[in-house]
Amino acid sequence: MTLPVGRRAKTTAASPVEHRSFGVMAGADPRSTTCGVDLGTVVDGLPPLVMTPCRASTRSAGLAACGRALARWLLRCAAVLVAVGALCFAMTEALPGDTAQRVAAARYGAENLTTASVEGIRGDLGLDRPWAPRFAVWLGMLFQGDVGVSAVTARPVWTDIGPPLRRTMMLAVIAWPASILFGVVLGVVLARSRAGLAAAQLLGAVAAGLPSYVTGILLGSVFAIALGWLPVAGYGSASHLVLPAITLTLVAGLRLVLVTARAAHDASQHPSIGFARMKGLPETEVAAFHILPLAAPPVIAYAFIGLAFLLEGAAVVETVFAYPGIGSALVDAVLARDVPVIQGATIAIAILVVTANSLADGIARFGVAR
Amino acid sequence: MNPTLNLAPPMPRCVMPTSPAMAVTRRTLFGVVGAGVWMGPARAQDGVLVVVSPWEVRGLDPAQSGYVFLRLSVAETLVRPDTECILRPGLSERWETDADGLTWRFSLQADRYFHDLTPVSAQAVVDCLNTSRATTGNTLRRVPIEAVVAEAGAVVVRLSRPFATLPAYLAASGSIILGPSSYNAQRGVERIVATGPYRVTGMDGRHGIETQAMTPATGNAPAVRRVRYQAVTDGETRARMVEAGDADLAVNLPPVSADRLRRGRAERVVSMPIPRARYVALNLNVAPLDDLRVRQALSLAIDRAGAARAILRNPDAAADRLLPPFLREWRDPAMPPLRTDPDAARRLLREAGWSPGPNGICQRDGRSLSLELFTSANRPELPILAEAMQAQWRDIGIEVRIRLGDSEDIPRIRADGSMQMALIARTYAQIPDPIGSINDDFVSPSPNGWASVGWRSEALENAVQRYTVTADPSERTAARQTIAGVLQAELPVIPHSWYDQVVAFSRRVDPVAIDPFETTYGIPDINWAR
Repeated sequence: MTLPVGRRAKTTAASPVEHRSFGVMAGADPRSTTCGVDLGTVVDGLPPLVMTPCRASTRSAGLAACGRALARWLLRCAAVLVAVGALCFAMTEALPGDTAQRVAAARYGAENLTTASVEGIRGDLGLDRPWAPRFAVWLGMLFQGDVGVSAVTARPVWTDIGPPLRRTMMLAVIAWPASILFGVVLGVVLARSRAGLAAAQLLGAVAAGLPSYVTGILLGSVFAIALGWLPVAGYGSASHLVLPAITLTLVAGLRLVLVTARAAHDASQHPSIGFARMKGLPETEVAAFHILPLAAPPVIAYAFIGLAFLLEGAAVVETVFAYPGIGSALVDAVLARDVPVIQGATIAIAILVVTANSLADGIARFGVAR
Repeated sequence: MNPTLNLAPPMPRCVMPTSPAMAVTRRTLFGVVGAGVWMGPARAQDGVLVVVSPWEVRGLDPAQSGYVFLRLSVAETLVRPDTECILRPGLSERWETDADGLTWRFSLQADRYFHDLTPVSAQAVVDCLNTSRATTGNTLRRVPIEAVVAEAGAVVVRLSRPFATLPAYLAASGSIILGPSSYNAQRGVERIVATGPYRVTGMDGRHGIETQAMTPATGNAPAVRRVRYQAVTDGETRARMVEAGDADLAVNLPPVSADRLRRGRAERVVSMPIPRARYVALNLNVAPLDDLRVRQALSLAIDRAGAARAILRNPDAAADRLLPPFLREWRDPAMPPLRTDPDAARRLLREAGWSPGPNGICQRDGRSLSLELFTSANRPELPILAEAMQAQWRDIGIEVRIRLGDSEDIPRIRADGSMQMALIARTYAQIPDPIGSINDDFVSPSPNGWASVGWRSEALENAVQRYTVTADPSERTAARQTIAGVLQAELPVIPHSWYDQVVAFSRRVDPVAIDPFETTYGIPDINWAR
């Protein structure tokens, strides 16, 4: 049986089986319960708490739901594939300047340009044809899983963007969990007082206003140049990942601090938290097992948005640290007007973001109290 | 005789994994738990010379990235320039030309081998050169070559007309000699197998190259055995890498970064003028730039010395002519230098009919003397120099608007006629002789995107023609002086300043001389500091 979502009727008389609470029912260990309060019941004047019954579905229903989610994800990816590719195509078409000229400059150097080389490239790339047939060809190739070859290097796009994508993902795999850990822990700590909340707001403002390249340069100046602990730029070893990862952690984590602090503060106003404190639970347990679950939905949603921030910030951070990831590859491709690489890199990033958003949706739908 | 090779195991490489998914997983795990565990190539601390420069490897074709492999001493050319701009034997032992100047014969050095141990034969060199000259964008395409053939162990180049600057074109980076195994069936370059003292042991996309020294059959082996090249586009980042000890050799440092590094103690900074000039290109189809007096006034108003001192941080960078003084053969001491004289500039404007209006801007027939200057931020100093010139021109009554764009836009705005003036940087080292760029810019029937528009000079064209045909030294000197004199007198471009190549060395190595034509970083001559 599915519980209604939203403010429940005061007279609802649902069975205990259909109701969930954060812990066990009354009579169990008081250190891990909310005193058996039926959180599905609304008390006048207090905010409602409605649970999503993830355990109500059967195994087959769960599989079906997973299948539907997978299908939705695939559909989203396909739509994103076409939409992003078309958008990139349109935007590069709209850019001022001569694409053949840009590509020739990227291939042979701006100062070695000749009319013959530019015209040769124009013919080779089919840039002398109208945009519609060129886009149709690209779309046809895309449906065959082929995004073409780089206009500059003449190598398959995936060959060109594979290594940078791998490097950026390696960076993201480190920076993203670190930013969540940093943002959540600091946010919960700051949520405990008004001064902390103000500090969280300040950090949020700093995160919004401080360009990531400034953070990167500052970190490099201290830890690489002044202290000599870490390489200031480059790639090829684990130590080269540290400074870019910290920079990205700060970029995404500082924003999460504010979201977490606000959510934790709101959650801490809920009566269940008051009950937990009345029972004499240690504050760390209250925070970890009672406040955090209540504050989780916006935090999780924002954490996944943070992944997008992280990928966005990677373009700048990778340039500052001379780390050849997908962000810097994309910047290079835009400057060189290398349309296939722009499309390939953007599609790769878009699929990552869509996947992250789908995961966030899935977690919110199946696993988290709303 | 067998070639001697260093058969030590190759250094760790960044290798494209066979399974991307597995590689991501493995590397990710290492990345998370392996702090401090080296996964990739060595850093500066590991006895590997780390070179950072702005240039990515955008393809293996000599026309695209030949200069990278030439500078890293991986590849060689038949002819090479020395630091005095004199052409010396490279892979060839000597060269000679027939009396009519149409046939050139290059004898190859004996006992030379490609990195894969195949001998360097005349036929291999001929095949390489023929492939290169058939490739779009290669400088060899500007040479009137009829055929390149192998004859009696020598490389013979037949021309359709006399062309005395052929050796200079054969010294260009597009003319590097690659072995037969470098090419695939379609004659595309798949790998770099060349003849230099270092061989490529690994490549990481566009950003990294690893090389290892070959052990020479004769003479001393280079002190630097392993090199890691990394393309770092941002100049300040390159400077910081040397500062932090992450790089041993950083090239093309911006003036501000170089200035900062000079104040530090951890590295040595060496600078040297190179044949690259900043100048204002003009559209002489646009009035009043077609008037020589206005061009002279523009030139006289520019405070080159001030800009060189305050912005470029190098007083010697102020240009008193187009080509820098170290190109001695091109320097005519009798030629009057460009100077700064705002009063003379105002006089010239008055002579041209432009008199100051109520707002200080010159007017003629009710029209203000207002122009647009295009420049790009690709070279960060250019917009600042443009602003300085804007103020100086304002001072003599010329109003100038600055338009910022990309340097790649210049050919377009030249072609569509929207360019009035453009502050740009131009190399005269495409080949180790400035005549290559001069010919391209001022003589070629399809001039490229770096010269002025609407200017031709019969005197200059004749002099260039003479220079490229004759091998007689006195005739060539006379032609050079004519060319330099015409450019100075008619000002089709207004020279502003010369470039310095600024290189920083880490304390781990002893600095070496810089090659002004940038054909080598001098890695074989670098010694580890004691």
